[in-house]
Amino acid sequence: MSEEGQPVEEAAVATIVDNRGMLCAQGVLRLMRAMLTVPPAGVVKVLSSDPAAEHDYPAWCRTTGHRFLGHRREADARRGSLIVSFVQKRVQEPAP
Amino acid sequence: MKTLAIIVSRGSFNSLIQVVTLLMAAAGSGLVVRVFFRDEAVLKVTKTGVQDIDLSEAYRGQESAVRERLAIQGLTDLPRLLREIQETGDVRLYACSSSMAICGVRAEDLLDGIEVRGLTAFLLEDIAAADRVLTF
Repeated sequence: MSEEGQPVEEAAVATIVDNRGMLCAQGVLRLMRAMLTVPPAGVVKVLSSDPAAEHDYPAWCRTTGHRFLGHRREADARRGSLIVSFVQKRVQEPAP
Repeated sequence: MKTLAIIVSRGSFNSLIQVVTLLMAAAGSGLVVRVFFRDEAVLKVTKTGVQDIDLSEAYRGQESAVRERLAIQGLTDLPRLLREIQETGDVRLYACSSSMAICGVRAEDLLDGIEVRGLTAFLLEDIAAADRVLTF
């Protein structure tokens, strides 16, 4: 996977969700739970060892209305490599 | 797709893990989910049944290694996982009243967060309102 999306300033990150070692579905649940405390338009950085993250988080954003900013691969001493994703919380809650 | 109805009949621990991980993804994605446990699955969603980490025949010979991996992934505490799923999304869990009668399961035997529901109500209300129906 090559780097995708726009560069994100680390200073803009409101919360980090560490999904290293998690299955894909565990990671999605943890991200949704983290979103509950993130302010609107806040940026969440997600660390994933599961390669499914490459496709899961863009799809999750398309479904939930959050904005997928991009992701990149980073080296990880224990797991070889990580996918680092950046997601921006939607500004408005969807109508019920 | 916004609403899922899920019918769970198989009752081995590994089958329930498949349901739980799907619920994680669904609840975490904002889907409305209604789950109906029936037949032997009713035995697994009791306070005693959930303690038994039994695995399907296909896992024979590697049970201990699989149980170890489940523990490492944090997937052996089903009551906690179901609680987190229900706290995160619009997920309701039902036990079939008919299956409970056949299996000898009382309402107080069920895990917290699981409600008793009749097949007819689930059929006419939850399945009828669902965008997709899944079976396990």
